[in-house]
Amino acid sequence: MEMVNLGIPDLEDRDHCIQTLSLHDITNKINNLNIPVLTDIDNFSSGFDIRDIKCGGNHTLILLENGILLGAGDLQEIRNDSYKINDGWILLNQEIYTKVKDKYNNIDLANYCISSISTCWDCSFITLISKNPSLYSFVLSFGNQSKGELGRKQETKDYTIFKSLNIKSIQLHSCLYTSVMQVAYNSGDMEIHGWGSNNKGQLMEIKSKSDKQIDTPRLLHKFIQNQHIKCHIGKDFLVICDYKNDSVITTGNKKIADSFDDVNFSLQDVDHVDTMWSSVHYNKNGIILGFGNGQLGQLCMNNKSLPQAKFLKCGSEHMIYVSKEEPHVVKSWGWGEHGNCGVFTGDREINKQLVFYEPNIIYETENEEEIIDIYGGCATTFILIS
Amino acid sequence: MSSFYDEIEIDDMNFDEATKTFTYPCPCGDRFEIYIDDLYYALSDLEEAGGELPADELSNIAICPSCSLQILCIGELQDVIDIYEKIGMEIPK
Repeated sequence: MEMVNLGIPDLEDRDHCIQTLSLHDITNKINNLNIPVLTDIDNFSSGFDIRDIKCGGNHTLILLENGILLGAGDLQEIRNDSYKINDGWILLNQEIYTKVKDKYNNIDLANYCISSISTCWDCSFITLISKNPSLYSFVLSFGNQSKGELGRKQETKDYTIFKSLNIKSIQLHSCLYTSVMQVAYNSGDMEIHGWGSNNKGQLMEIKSKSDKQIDTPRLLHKFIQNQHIKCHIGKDFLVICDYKNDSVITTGNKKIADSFDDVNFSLQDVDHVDTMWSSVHYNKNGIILGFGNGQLGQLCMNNKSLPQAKFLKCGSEHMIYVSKEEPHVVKSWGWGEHGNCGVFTGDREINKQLVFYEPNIIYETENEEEIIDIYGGCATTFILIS
Repeated sequence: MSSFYDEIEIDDMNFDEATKTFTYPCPCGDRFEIYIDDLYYALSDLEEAGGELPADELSNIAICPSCSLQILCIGELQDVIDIYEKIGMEIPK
């Protein structure tokens, strides 16, 4: 498997960390290219720090705090090699802005910022948000689809799948063929819209075969005067955490929904929630509680006491963890067949799938390094180091 | 415990007309694959056996070329026959 999606060309699987991107280099290059960095919008940081990393099947997006968007791998419609940053990474803003301007002639992109990203298997979503309530905010989709996951017809050159006024923020969440967006309005209300594969009823109840695929964003839930909502999505399930009312809605994969229903669970004191493709994990008071597929060691730390997590993030089928006690050490467990859980020292004849049943050290900082964040993709692990 | 990563309905898989192959995403980033004729024979055997076979005799299995994971493709033989008819391909004898 080539690692172009990690921004590392022509390399095979690695079980040791390798640098893929230096933000210091990017800052210099982007400044030298005179690319407009959108910094003058309320509540948006002007920094080159990383806001989010999202991984599709064979591509990766990195969103910076200032709205700069970088991509690696199979980027489809938003790939334009004219904006290469280095051998692996491409600046995506310009190509996206060109496409938006083709559709909306009069749009002044200085009023907008890319504020959220998500990736399905073969496509990408971005929000172009305006802090001016009289201007539309947009959600755009780019790429290929097979289960309606683009949220629009493949052939159309109008990449907009949602637009609205008076928007405070939009959060995107995608996995495999399904996406949801949390739309927070200035009024204090929140809506959850979903599209793509609904094969297990993760978005809405399946009443007929046609309900198994939702081709355009559809309103799923509306919360009045409640924006304390967080969505988490797996390949065939959706978890909606309502922190205001201390309730969790789990839809889709029956095994996950049923196993969650069997426990008396409160969102109080929950520090982290994240999803692998086939399981959801809650971290509460130093205990991780996971529901779903545990066949590849995904649930092996269930109910075991761990030092309180500073960072806890899921990859496709592995967990990545940094404790507050040891903030300089990154550990991982679960399915590590591609080096994503670090070096495997067990017996490969017995454990052919390289399942890690205990936290395995992936990386320890050196000198003055500091771990800023961690992210997981398809059998891939990203560690952000200052 | 099943040795398969997942059980996936044929309806949820993608069919590539160029390669005549059913595919489904693997969590490693590659795709599980099974050639249409192989799936047809596997489901024929399963149907002949009354819908049940020991796990080690099942062959309706899609394999990822990049890792050790496998999925079990579940569905009716008719689902595959429908694809043959849709693409105008002859059903194997």
